[in-house]
Amino acid sequence: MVVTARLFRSISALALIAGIVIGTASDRSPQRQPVRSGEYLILAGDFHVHAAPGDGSLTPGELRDEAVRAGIDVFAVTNHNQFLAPRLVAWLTSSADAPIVIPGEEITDRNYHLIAVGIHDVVRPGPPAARLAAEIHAQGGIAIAAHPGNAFAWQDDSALSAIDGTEVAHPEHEEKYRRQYLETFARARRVNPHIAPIGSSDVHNTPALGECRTLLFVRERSVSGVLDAIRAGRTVAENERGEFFGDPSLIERVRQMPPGGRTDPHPHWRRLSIALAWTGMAGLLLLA
Amino acid sequence: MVSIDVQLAFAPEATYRQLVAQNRPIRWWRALARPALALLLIAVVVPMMVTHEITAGLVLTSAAAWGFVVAIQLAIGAIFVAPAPASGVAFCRAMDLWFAGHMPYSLWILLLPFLSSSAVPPHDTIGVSILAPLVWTSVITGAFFRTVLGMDASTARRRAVFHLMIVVVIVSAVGLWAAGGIPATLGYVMRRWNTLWS
Repeated sequence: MVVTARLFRSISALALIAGIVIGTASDRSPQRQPVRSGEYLILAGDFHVHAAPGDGSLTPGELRDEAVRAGIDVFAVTNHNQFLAPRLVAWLTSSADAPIVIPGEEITDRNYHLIAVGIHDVVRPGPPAARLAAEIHAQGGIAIAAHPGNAFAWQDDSALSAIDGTEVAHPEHEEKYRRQYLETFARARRVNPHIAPIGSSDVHNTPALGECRTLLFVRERSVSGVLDAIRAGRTVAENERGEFFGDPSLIERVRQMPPGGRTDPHPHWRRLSIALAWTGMAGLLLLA
Repeated sequence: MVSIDVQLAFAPEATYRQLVAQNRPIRWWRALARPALALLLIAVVVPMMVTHEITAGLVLTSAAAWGFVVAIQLAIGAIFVAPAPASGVAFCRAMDLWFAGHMPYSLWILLLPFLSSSAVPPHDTIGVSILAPLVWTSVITGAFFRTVLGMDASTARRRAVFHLMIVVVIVSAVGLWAAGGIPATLGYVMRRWNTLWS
């Protein structure tokens, strides 16, 4: 009986180790070069990403590795009303080729969710959205309306004219929300012609980083280059169905030179590693 | 065929009696084996759920990021075990047996990749499904207090309810902090409620 128990445990442990080794060896995403379109580089961004510690499951460092797999050049860590995970961004080792990580926050109030990108300190919810946008701008950041459906009561013209972008592509199960985001964007464009269309994944704990994304026309591959592109409205939002939203001229340029998306260079090895690791873990827990 | 922890999850009283009868003293590092397995489980399953990848780097960083969960569980266990009346079970062994009752949470964590891949929003699935290990573990902790710590039935029941309250308070506090505070959480719940009934 003892021998059988040891055998089961050994086989389970071996399966787990084999899964991790195979997964590590096959985790090699090809190096991507930014696409150039005229005077601009086209970068793929995701500006609504939750991280650990907080209500996301991955640390900023893990998210950066995931961004490489997802074909994301830049993303913002935006937890609800707190700034602990974004502070960890400063600890990341810098690398010219690695995706850019920008500290941010999802300022979460009963009446609005407002994404702040490029800030350096927490912004407290409570004031009207237009005033919050001014606070974000004072920190050098940009303000984006998060999933701006009808459930939020803040979208008056003063708020829409004060912000820099609005999420028009956001993963949704229900069509009515997609329509509401489009309507909000159309209203925002009437009062604020340069407002940027934004696509965001709002990823917490499911595989979705870059599921919806923002394609940015930047003059340089840097944080200031990215924020300038959003301020100037030089963006195209793309949803998970491959639909584009924004200026027709920019959409046309994206269609001509589309940046790559998620890569999965070794899908069979990846699936095998997951199956082995999960089975091994289950065996360690459940078998004698 | 199945592990003693699985047997304990389905027959806590009888299995705890059998384990206590073995009267096997263990060293402190052996008492950390089950908490370490729980941490390994979290470190393997969480990145698997989020990235559909498993690498050594993901396992290590996830273990570092989520180690506080197991540390909190250890602290709660120690709070209940340390001041318990003499029961013939040494502290390290009692802590080991406390963590032997972790199976409901372990099963829930193991199934998270499947729970979060359903058509229902993962927040809802995870938020509702955690009730199962919460309630199931209360049954096991009641048996632990009676059988391992030698408490009478009513004291064991009160302790099990107190333990459940501590867990609920800690999970709620962490959840509220992560969700941005009480008004933000209430706003989310009301919007979800309206969506469900509209």
